[in-house]
Amino acid sequence: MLVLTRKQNESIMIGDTIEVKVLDVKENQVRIGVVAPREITVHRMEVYLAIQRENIEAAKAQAATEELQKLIKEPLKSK
Amino acid sequence: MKVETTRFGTLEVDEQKIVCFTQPILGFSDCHRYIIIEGPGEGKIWWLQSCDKPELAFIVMDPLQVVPDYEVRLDASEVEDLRLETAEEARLLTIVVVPEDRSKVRTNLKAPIIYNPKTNLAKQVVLHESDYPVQYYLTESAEQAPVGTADASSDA
Repeated sequence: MLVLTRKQNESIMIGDTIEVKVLDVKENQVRIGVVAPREITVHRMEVYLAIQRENIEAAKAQAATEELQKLIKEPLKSK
Repeated sequence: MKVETTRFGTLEVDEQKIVCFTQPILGFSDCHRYIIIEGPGEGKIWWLQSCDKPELAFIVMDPLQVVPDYEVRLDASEVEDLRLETAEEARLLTIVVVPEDRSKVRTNLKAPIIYNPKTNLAKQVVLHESDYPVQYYLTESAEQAPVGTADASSDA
């Protein structure tokens, strides 16, 4: 990991198209601005990981769509 | 063209029907081409089978079936990326997770797939500002109600 120290309003340039800027620094929170081309997605890490994990779980599915359709039309009352 | 699949054998696919993901499904960065396999009957659940990897397929569903007011606001760049003429043309598909314990069948409302059936372009977007859950349990759909609004524009 490349580690840089920045002050408020200072930036980092990643490649030629991505800018990361420190907008605001509070006690335990940093407000970060990102400028990136549209095709580069930017996610909070925990959201990214949660979605990736869920996608990977989903890819394991071995089921019949008719079975699932029944589950949805008549939702199980059990929790 | 022929598409090899582990679940369905070798499929004969019309190339015009191949769905191209402008951005890959998160976690599967080397797969961009998929086909939608319709199930029997009139259900709104389908398989999204990768054309690049035979073992890769996702069950996807129409989220409006279980959340009739599920709303996704697309920003201009999403509309452009999928070459939508209007945002209304977009179809929403959410990925379904099917665990062994079928009572835990769930779908991801936080990161739906936006699909343009006219251009066969699609992408998975993350609704950063929404309160929709990553894990929406389908068997509890009677009791669960998502909170908040959906906004597909990212924080960037």
